[in-house]
Amino acid sequence: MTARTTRVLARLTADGSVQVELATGLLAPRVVRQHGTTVEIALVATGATLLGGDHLRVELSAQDGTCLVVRDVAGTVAYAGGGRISHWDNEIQVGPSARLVWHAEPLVLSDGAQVHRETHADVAGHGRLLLRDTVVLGRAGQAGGELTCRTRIWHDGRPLLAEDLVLDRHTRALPGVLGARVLDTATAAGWRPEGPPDATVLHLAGEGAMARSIVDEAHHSEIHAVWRQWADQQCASL
Amino acid sequence: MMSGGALLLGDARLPTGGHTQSAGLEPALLTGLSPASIPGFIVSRLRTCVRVDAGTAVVGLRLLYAGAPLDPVVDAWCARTPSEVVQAASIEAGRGYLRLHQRLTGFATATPALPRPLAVAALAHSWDLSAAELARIICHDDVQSVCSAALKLTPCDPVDTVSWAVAAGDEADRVVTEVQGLDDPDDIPAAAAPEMELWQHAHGNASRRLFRA
Amino acid sequence: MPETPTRAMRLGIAGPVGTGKSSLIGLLCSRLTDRLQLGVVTNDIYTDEDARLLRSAGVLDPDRIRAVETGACPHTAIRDDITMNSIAIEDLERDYPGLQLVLVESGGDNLTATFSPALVDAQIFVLDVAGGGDVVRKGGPGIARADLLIVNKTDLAPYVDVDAARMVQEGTAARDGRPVIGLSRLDTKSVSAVCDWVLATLASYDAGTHTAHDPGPMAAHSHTQ
Ligand SMILES: Nc1nc2c(ncn2[C@@H]2O[C@H](COP(=O)(O)OP(=O)(O)O)[C@@H](O)[C@H]2O)c(=O)[nH]1
Ligand SMILES: [Mg+2]
Repeated sequence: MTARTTRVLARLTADGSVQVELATGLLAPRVVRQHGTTVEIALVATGATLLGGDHLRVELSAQDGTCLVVRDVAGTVAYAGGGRISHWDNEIQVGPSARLVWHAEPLVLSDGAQVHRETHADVAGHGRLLLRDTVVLGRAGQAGGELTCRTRIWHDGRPLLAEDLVLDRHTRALPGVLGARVLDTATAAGWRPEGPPDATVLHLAGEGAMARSIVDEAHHSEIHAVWRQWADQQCASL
Repeated sequence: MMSGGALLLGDARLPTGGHTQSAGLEPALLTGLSPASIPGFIVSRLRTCVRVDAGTAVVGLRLLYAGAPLDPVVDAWCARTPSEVVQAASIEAGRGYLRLHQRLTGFATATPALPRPLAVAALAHSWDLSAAELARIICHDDVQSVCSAALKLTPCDPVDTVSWAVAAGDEADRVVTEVQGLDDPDDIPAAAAPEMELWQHAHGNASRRLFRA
Repeated sequence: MPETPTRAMRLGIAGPVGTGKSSLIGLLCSRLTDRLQLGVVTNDIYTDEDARLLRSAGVLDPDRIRAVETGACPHTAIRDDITMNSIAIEDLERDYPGLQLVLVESGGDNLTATFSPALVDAQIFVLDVAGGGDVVRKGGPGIARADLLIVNKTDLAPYVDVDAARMVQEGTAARDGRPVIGLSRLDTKSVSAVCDWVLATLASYDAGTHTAHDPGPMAAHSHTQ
């Protein structure tokens, strides 16, 4: 099983415009708009994802001075994999003075799906990253499949956030692990978003913050409002 | 055999302010954990934040034995402890150990504040503890903090709380086995319990608290 | 010549719940804040009820009032594991150089609770007339041997059928002549007497002539006088 890599790389050219390099994997990147140093990309599924055994890999890189805005066109459903694990790797680079926002749509785990997801991000000194991550355990009426998420975010060469979530059925039934179907998270790295004090916002020890909400229905998440506010601060030009 | 230092560190009577800590139980009960779930809560903690703390303590101990600075392991612990409320509570609990250490030996850290697992590691270093003993102490203290706080916070029989601690023994053994050999901050477990983190995060604004954390 | 101390004097205030410890601290703050650099540490079982009460009374800069959680162990926090109280006091001293007096209120506890001499330099034990005239005779280490015993709320004595003067007298007898003051916040003379005692104790502390002593454990029970 080889990974099919979706790649988006934004770099500044000598004349000050942004040049984008794209590669299609299980998700296909499309340029939606471009304005100054900002480029907005949509990620479109090329087929039914995520199936058992799929290996989806996304590489996003905003190089020095660029602002890369990525949107998912739709949420992703992980289907029952017949015992085969699906892998999803995200590799994110944010260069000095670059900005990257990923308006990710929910990942929904159907009954019988097994997904192992890894997100690795490296944010340079004056870079800023903003990520949305919504996982939904089960489609309507389901208990949902099994998910493990490994997240490592580095800022300026130091670890900013390291988190391993083991959301198999046994572990998430333990008191205090999850308690509901939907885990909605917004993560800012390399900067501290401004906003009114909010019970959902955790202020990381390094430059960064994480807002989190655990709810039974995604539309009840308190992160929608936080996200809008944070995203506006990140790339106001779009 | 357990060393004398290990027994002292595992004893709640050590004057370090341990009686002010409920290991997350008070925030959990205030936010909706049912008392019947406390034994499971103990296991949840051993699977997640206690693994982080035990791994942090062990790597810290190795760095101290090697005479190396603790900064990389402080960074690693911070990255695994996203809530500033939880961080502050751990650092405050750590001050109790640092203060005792300072009074006993004149110990002073270059970093004035250390999270609790590293403050315990510093004493463990002074008292020549092994990594396995230290990991065991971190687990034991967390389990017993929950148990003794439960006696204050819920109607229960002290004998029941002992049975919870006994039942959590296998999980604690697994933590010790898993972390005792660690020496790289990047390898410290990062297992998280997001709901519990949010409960503890809310404790910063709770009124009528009995426990600091 | 005895050494003069370099840190603030720490004055503990113990006694059963509701006898008026927080009120006494409020009185002392309002009377002494112009003359002394003060700090307060509270230990109520419910976090910072007392701290909030004192902060809202406006008698002292709210940041000079710190609350310590005791995990429902008020006795432990002032006697067998004083760590968190010591840290709170040391923080106040660090934040307010030149601090002269720190008042430490124990979470209301039973008659046997006394401060560790490692935590405070002197301590006041507070009773009130409403607790009954015979409390003093029942004794306990704080009643018998605290640096000062206060019999509070003397204004209420007629309503609870207690002879306040006699309570003070019996206290003095039970304490081998150590000071006892009958206090009511409505009686300015009695308030001044308490302030004078605090100032005199602080003066001897500053001069290096004050010795902290421990009221000690519950005395062996005896029915002979
Ligand atoms: N009548 C009267 N009431 C008092 C006096 N001092 C305190 N109180 C009241 O006694 C109650 C308990 O006082 P508080 O200071 O909270 O007691 P603590 O629990 O020992 O701190 C409050 O309602 C006070 O207003 C006094 O001198 N006279
Ligand atoms: Mg009070």
